[in-house]
Amino acid sequence: MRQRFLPITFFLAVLAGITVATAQQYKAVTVDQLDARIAAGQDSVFVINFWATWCAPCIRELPYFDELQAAYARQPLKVLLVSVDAPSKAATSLSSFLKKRSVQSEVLHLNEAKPHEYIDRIAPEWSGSIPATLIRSPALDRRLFHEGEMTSEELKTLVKSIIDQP
Amino acid sequence: MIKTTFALVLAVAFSSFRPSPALTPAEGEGYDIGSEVADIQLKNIDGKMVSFSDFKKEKGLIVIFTCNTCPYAIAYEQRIIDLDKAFRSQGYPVVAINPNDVNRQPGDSYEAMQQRAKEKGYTFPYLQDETQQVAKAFGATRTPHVYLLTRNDSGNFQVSFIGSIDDNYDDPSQVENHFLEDAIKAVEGGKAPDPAKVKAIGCTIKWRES
Repeated sequence: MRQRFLPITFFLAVLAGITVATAQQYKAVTVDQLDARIAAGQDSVFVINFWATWCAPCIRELPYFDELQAAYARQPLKVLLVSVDAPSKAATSLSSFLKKRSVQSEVLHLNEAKPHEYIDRIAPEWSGSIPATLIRSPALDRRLFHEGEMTSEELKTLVKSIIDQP
Repeated sequence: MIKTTFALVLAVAFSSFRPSPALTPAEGEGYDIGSEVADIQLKNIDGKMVSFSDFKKEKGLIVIFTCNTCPYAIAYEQRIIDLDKAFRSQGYPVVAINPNDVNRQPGDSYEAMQQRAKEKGYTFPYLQDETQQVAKAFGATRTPHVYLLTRNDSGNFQVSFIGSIDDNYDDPSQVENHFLEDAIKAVEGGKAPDPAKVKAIGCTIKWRES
């Protein structure tokens, strides 16, 4: 009896391991660390989306960023999904969100407590509302900021406009 | 590009509609520093109508557009209660106004507002801005969105400060700048608040769909 169940138990254990492994872990970053990451990205175009687990329009938009990342898989384009969930709550809210939802693009948590400071440092034209998307390309010396929800098409057009700029 | 707003995940509010951009007031519309405010008439949670003109002896009013549902408003709720306790006796009571569209945010219904105020023991009016006309007149865009009104030489209320209560919504113990309290202190000292305007940090007001 015992031996018969062993392979099943083993299989379940492996399955459980895989499930845990696919839940994305996020890294906490400050604005300085985010800037350093972009500066080190040399030839990359960074598409940085600011969102939160409690923001419904943001969550509607997330799959579009995953689609974008997949469409540009062979080009130097990097999607960063930066959560602005409250630093004191991210360990619970963001972790449980990432366990429940399959998010393919890289997730970061903005570890900054003072919106009055960080909003202006990220984009002076930003009112602070989310979703908001910043596109930065150090190599091309280009920058674009969009505040508000986008459709998949609008996002693609925005990204194209910065890449295809003459 | 569609300029949209926050909506909350609370109560699994994944609605399929999108806010119409035309109905969302742009930043910078409405009252500015020095603007004299028009009187209001909004229903309080006790069923009575409240107007600014009801406050005859007060030196000013702390008008806060806020709601039951936004994480920022929730984070600031206790501070709003404390502000009223601290400043009512000094002549600056809190007047809280909920501008959210109830269809988009059922958690901000009149009944939910009553319940919330009772649970938390609000000592100040909590008014429903059902038509959103007051929020639009003020140019409020967020919950919470703070306006300090003070009496001008003509005895009318005018706007003296716009923005946030302080600079750390997440952790009250780590606040460095108490914007609103500093503004009241400045006014009390006969000075103009500096800064008179800071960004309001919060959720976008849930405007009505057409």
